[in-house]
Amino acid sequence: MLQLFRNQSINDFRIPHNPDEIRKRIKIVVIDDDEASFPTNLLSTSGYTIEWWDKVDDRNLERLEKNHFDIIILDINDIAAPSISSTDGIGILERIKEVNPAQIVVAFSGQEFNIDKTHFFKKADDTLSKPVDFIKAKNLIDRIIDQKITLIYFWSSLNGYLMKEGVKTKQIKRVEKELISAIKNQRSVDYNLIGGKILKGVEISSKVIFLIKKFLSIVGFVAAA
Amino acid sequence: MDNVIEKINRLVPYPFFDEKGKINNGCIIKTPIECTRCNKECYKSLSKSRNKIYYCSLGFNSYKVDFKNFNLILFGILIKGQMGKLPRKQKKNLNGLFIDISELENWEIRTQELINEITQFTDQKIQDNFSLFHDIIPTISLIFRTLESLINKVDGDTFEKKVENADYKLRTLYHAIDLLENRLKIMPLIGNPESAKFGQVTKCYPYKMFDKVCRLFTETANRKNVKLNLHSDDYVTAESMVYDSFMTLPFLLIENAIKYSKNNNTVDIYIQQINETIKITVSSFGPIVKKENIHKIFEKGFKDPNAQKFSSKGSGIGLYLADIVAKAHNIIISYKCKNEGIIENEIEMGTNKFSIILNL
Repeated sequence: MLQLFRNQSINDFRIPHNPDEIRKRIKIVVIDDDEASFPTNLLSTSGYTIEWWDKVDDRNLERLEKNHFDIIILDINDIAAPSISSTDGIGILERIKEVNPAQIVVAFSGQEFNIDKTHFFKKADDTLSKPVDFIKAKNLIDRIIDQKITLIYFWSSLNGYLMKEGVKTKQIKRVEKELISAIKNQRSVDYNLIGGKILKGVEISSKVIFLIKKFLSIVGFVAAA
Repeated sequence: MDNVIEKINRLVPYPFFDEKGKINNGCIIKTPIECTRCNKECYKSLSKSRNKIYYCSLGFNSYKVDFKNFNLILFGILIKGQMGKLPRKQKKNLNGLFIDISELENWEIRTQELINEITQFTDQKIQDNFSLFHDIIPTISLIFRTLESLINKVDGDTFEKKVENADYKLRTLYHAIDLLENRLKIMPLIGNPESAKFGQVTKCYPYKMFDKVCRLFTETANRKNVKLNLHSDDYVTAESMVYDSFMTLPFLLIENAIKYSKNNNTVDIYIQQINETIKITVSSFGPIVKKENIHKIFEKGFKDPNAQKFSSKGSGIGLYLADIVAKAHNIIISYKCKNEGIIENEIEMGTNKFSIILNL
């Protein structure tokens, strides 16, 4: 009986998803000055959408900060133009997390022995040490898809982000309620309601809408016709 | 750090208690003959005392030194204006042995500076060595990419199947590089033990993991004509949550068992589910650890004399690292040996068993 009156939360819902489909939809970037360090080609032929960058500079930084990628696999050394970060990979990681705490970043390095770099590994969502073979790299990506490309994880990250940005609890609850309603009734999310009413005047409202749209498209949520 | 402490201990100007309460001579510059030396009982009361300077019933002073990473209690000192009631005659005899408290304080400050410098130098040296090791990573990565593209041409639904279907030479080469990769994963633990907890805890299937490690070591074991036997019941799918570093534990235990296994023998690995736990035991026949040394087997650089005589290879670091990984997972590695009264070439031989218990 109590269950009936309890407020429903996102945690009570699942969006049925197909990991193989998600694998194709998610975008991965590997940032490392050594192209051979990661099995990018083999992953690409295995159906993953993956690209390799040797450096982060003024031209491509925006793509990192604007959530173009779902998983960023980041090395620690020689990957950042001095104009972007004076502390190389650590600076990039901090910058990405500052702009979007929900962004999944994997610390990819052979520097675990270096005590000074410990916080790089601790700040990242996961770690992958060099050298890495195809099976290990693939397993890590699949594990992230399994554990982090989920409605619960997405909402907990978004919730944390909204709170960090000072959005009121009441407004966050209303965004959650709208999401629940859309998922439950298999209808489209009312983005006008979220942007125009619930998060009216909130600076990050368009970004929140973008993140919700992106997540739902990755997991393949389709509203009933 | 242990090495630094050992070196500093040689430079202490008075007899002293180390952190374990053991009495050390120091280099004794000014200890009076009348000081009869402290004993364990003195240590108990001195270590409890909050005072930096203390005097004993004989009238001599002790002085607590708090270095950054360890403490010492110096004794048999006569500090001007700080000692207890000494008989006047004795006091006269001891003339010339009295020191100012500032002398001790200066010694403490300078020794701390020295410790800092030695530590910094040692750390730098370690980091330099690791940087050299780090430089070989791109070469190994390149070998991996080349091998993977060759294996990818082999028939098979998955990459794992392709490895299985690859011809013997290609498969052996791939396993050899895989072995090297896993060996390299051990290295960071030496420089940064905290790295055992890097990453997320994820599901692991102990049976699969030990099975993989056995396959990696097949060639190594073959060279000694040692057979690796994995024994398990039908609960091979049991899983546990572990850090990425956990893989180094079966790696180190099996490697250790092969290294210290007598030729033409077997290394037996037993995986048993007991209620909500999995017990894993690695058993081999070889040099046993002397009873008096069992408590030292996880110490860095320790090698029992029997193991030393059996094989001069190895730096006694494997079990120390295995212990770091085990502790990161709140696991205890237990060791048991069965002395079968066999002595070969002055080496006591028997069955060695290392066990761990994992929670499901």
